[in-house]
Amino acid sequence: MRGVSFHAAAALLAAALAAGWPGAAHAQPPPGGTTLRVAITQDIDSLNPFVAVFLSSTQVMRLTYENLTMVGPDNAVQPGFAESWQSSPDGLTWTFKIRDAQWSDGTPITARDVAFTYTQIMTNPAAQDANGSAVANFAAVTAVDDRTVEITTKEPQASILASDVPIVPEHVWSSRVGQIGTATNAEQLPAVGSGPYVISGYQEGQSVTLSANDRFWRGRAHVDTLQFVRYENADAAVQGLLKGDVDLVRDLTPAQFDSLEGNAAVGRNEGRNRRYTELLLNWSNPSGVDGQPFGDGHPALRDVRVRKALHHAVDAGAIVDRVKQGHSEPGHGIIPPVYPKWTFTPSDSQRRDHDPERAKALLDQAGYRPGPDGVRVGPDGRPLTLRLIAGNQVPTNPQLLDFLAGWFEAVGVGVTPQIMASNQIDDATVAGNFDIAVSGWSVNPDPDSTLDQQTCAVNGTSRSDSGYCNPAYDQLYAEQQAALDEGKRREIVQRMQSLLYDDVHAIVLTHDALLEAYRADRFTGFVTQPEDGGVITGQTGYWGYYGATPVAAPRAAADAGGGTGLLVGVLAAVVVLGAGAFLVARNRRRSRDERE
Amino acid sequence: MSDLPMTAVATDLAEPPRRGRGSAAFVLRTLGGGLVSVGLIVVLGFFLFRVLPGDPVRWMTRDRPGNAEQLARLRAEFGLDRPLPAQFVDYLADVARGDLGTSYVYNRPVTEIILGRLGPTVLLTGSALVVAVALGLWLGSRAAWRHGSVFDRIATGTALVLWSVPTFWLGLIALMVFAVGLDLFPTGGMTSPGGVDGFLPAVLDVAHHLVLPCLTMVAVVYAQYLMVMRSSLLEEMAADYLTTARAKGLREDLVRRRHAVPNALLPTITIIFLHVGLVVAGAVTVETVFSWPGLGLLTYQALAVPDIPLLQGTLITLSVAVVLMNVLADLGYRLLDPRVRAS
Repeated sequence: MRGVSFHAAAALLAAALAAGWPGAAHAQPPPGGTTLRVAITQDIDSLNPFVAVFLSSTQVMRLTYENLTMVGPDNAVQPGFAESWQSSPDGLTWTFKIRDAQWSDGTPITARDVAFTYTQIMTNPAAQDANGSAVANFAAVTAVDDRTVEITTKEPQASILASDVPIVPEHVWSSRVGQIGTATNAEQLPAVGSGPYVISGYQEGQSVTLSANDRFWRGRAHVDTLQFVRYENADAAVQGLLKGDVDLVRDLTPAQFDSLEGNAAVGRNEGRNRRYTELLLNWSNPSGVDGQPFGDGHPALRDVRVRKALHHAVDAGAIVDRVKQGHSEPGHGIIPPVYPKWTFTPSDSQRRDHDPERAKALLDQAGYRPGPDGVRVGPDGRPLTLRLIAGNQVPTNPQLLDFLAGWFEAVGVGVTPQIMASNQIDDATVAGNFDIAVSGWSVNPDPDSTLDQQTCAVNGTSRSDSGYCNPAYDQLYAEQQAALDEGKRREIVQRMQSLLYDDVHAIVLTHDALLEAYRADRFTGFVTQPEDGGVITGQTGYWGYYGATPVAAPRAAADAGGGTGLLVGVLAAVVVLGAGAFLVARNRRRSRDERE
Repeated sequence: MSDLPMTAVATDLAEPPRRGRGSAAFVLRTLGGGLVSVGLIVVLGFFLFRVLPGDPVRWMTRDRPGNAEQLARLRAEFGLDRPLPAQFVDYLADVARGDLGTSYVYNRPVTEIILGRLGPTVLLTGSALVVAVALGLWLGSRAAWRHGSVFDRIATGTALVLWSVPTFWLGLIALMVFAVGLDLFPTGGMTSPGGVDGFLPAVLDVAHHLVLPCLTMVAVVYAQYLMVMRSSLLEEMAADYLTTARAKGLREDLVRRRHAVPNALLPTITIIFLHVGLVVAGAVTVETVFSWPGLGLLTYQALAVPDIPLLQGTLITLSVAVVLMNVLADLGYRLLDPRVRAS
C-alpha cells in the first residue's frame, strides 16, 4: 500500500513536470545586450494585428508595425510608413508617398503592402475585428506604383491622418489570408515588421519578447530587447519593480505610487493621461435608436434642470484631492487637457461649480420638493431616489461613491450606490438600465471617435454613453468630419463640446493621471507623450520605449545578484520537493530494513 | 502477520470467482456513475452560462468600435443567432468530438487554450499536494500518538493558524519576504521571461519559480491532512490489535508505523482524492498572487469578460477532474480495504 502511494506520487510529479514543461519550441535564445522589462497587468488577447484589441496587445502592435502616419510625442501628425501626403481639392482622394525603407527581413517596403492591408480590412470580415471602423468610410485603396498609394473615401474625412491601422507585409500575410482572423502571428518568429521592435518570442500567458529592428528607418532603438511580462496582480508587479524583476510598471494606484516616493532606484512618472472619468446620467432618450424610449432610467433625468442640479451638487475638486490623492485634475469636456488643441473650457457664465444652494434651487424649480424624510418628491409623487452604479475594476470607485452619495443626499436627492463587475456595468449602460453610472473612456489625439460616441447613431451599441441624442449635435459632427481646414474644425469641435456641456449629456468629473514607475538606476530617456508631463506607456505611438536608454552597465551587477538568488532558490526548490518525496519514501525504506 | 489487514490485501486477490464478479459490477457501477456525472456537467455547462443576463456579442466587442453589420457577423460566427435548442445540439456534438468551441477573447479553440494551461496547474497543485499530504500525514500521526503533548499542540496550532490565514495575504507576505526582502525567488510567472536554453537550466528555472506558490499552497492546505490523520489515528489507538502488537513485544515506534498508521490511513485516502479537485479550483488565488499561468488564472480571467466558451471549457475540465478523483477514491478504497469489499 505504501508502495502504491509512493509510486503514485512519483508518477504524479513526473506527469506534472512533463505536462507543465514550457516546451523547447518556445525557448528563446538568451537576449544579448540590454533588456527592458515592462510589467503588464492585462493579458495579451492576440499578437495578430487584425484582431488584437486589448491595450497590452495594441502596445506590442504599435512597436512592431508602423501606421501610415504617426502621432508624434507632441501629439501632432508625423510621417510614418508614408513620408508625405496630400489630399485632392474635394477632400475625397488622399495620395501618400511611401518611404524607401525595408521590412525587418530586408524586403523593400512598398505601396502594395498598404493596399493589401487596407483592402483586407475592407473586404475580409475576419480581418475587421481590430480596425474595421477605421475603413468604414473608405471606397478604395490602390497602389499606383511602388511608392504611391491612393485612398479614396466616400465622404471627406479629416481624421484620416490619425488612423491607427498597423500596416503588415504583404509577402508574409498574403499566404495567411484564409487564416487572417485566427492566426496567432506567433507561428513564425521573429515576426516581420517595420517598427522599432519586432516580436521574437512569445510564452502564452507569461511574456512577449521583442528585439530591436536593425532596419528601422529612424535608426535602431537603444535598448536591444523589450519584454512585456505578465503580472496578474499589481501589488506583485510593484514588488517585482523593487526587486528588479521588471523595470517599468504602469497603472499604479495612488497608494502604490506614493509608497515609492523617496526610493533612489525608482523614478516615478505622473503622466497626464488621455482618459476622462464621467457620471453618465441616463437620458432614456426617446429620439435614440428607433424613436422609442429605452431602458428604465428615472424620468427626472430627462429634465435639464435636474441634470444641472446634480452637476452643481458634485465637488470635482474634492474628488481630485481626497479620492485621487491629487493625481488628477477636474474636467469639463470629454477631450482631456492633454490635447490642448481640442479641449474645452466653459465660459464663466456657462460654468457649473460646486454650489449646493444653486442645486437645491434648480430642483425646486423642476418641481421636486423636499419630502418628509429629506428626499425630494416629484410632481408625480415619486421620490427622487437614483441608482448610482460603478465598476469594481477601479480601486478608488467605492470611495468615489461614498462622496457622491453624500453630496447628492445633501441637496435632497436619494441614492442607492452599488459596485458591480465591469461587464454588468456595460450591460446596464448599454441597455439603459441605470440612473447614474461612473464611466470613462480613452481619447485619441484625433477627437473624431470620441465625438462620434455622443451621436444618436451609437445608442444601444457597446459604445453608447448616456443615451444622449441631439440632432443639432449630429449636424455639427458631420460638419467637423468634413472640415479639412484644422482651424475651422477646431471651432466646430468647441461648439460641439459647448453644446454637450449645456445639455449636461453627462457630468465629466476628472482627467486622471496615469501613474507609472521605472528603474531609474537602469534606464533613462523615456520620451513621454506629450513631451511635457505625458505618459510613457499607453501612448498612441512607440516613443516611450524607443527613447529608452540604458544607464551605464547596471544589468551585469543585477544579474550577478540574480544568479546567487537563482542558485539558493533552486537549492530550496530541490530541498522542498525532495523533502516531500523523502517523507513518503521514509517509512517504506525503514520498514523494509526492519522486516522480520 | 497474516492476521493484519495490510497483508490481507495480497491474499485477498485469490478469492473465489463470485467475489470477482462483484468487483467487476462495482467497478462498472462506479465508472457508470462517473460518466453520468460528466454528462450532467456537460449539459449544465451549457445552460448555466446561457442564463447569465446580457449579450455575449456585446461582451466580445467591449472597448472596440463596431457597427451593426460586424455585430451580426460575430453573432453568426459564434452560432448565437441560432435558436437555443439548435445551439445545444451543436454544442453536444462538438463536445463529443472534444471541441469546446472558440474563445471570445483569444479567438482560438478553447481546448487548445485549456491544454496549454493545464500543465502549469497540474505541476503547481501536484507538487503542493504531494508535499502537503506527506507533511500533513506525518505531523498528524506524530501529533495523535503523543496527543496532548507540546508537539501536538504546536503542530496542530500552527496548522490551524495557517489554514485560517487568507491565502492572498499569505502569498503576498511570502512574496515580500522571500522574493523581495531576501532576494531568493522571482516575483511571478512560471519561467524567466523569454525562457532559458537547455533542458536542465529550464527545469531548474521552473523549480525556482515554483517554490513560493507551492509553499503558499502547502501552508494553506496541509492542515486538513494533519487533522484527518490525527483524528483517524486517535480512533484507532484504543483498538485491540494494537495491544496484541505491543504484547508481541514490538517497539512502540513500530506499533505506530506498521500497525496503527496503515489502518488510520484508509479514511484519509478518500479525503485526499476528493480534495484534489478542490485544490485545483483553489489554485485560483495562488495563481493570481504569483501570476502563475494556470487554469485557475484562466478561469478567473474568463469570468471577468465573461468568455462563455472558455468558462464552459474550464468548468468541464475542473468538474471532470473532481469526478475522476471521486471514482478513483471509490475504486482505491475498495482495493485497499478488504472490509469494504467483503460487505
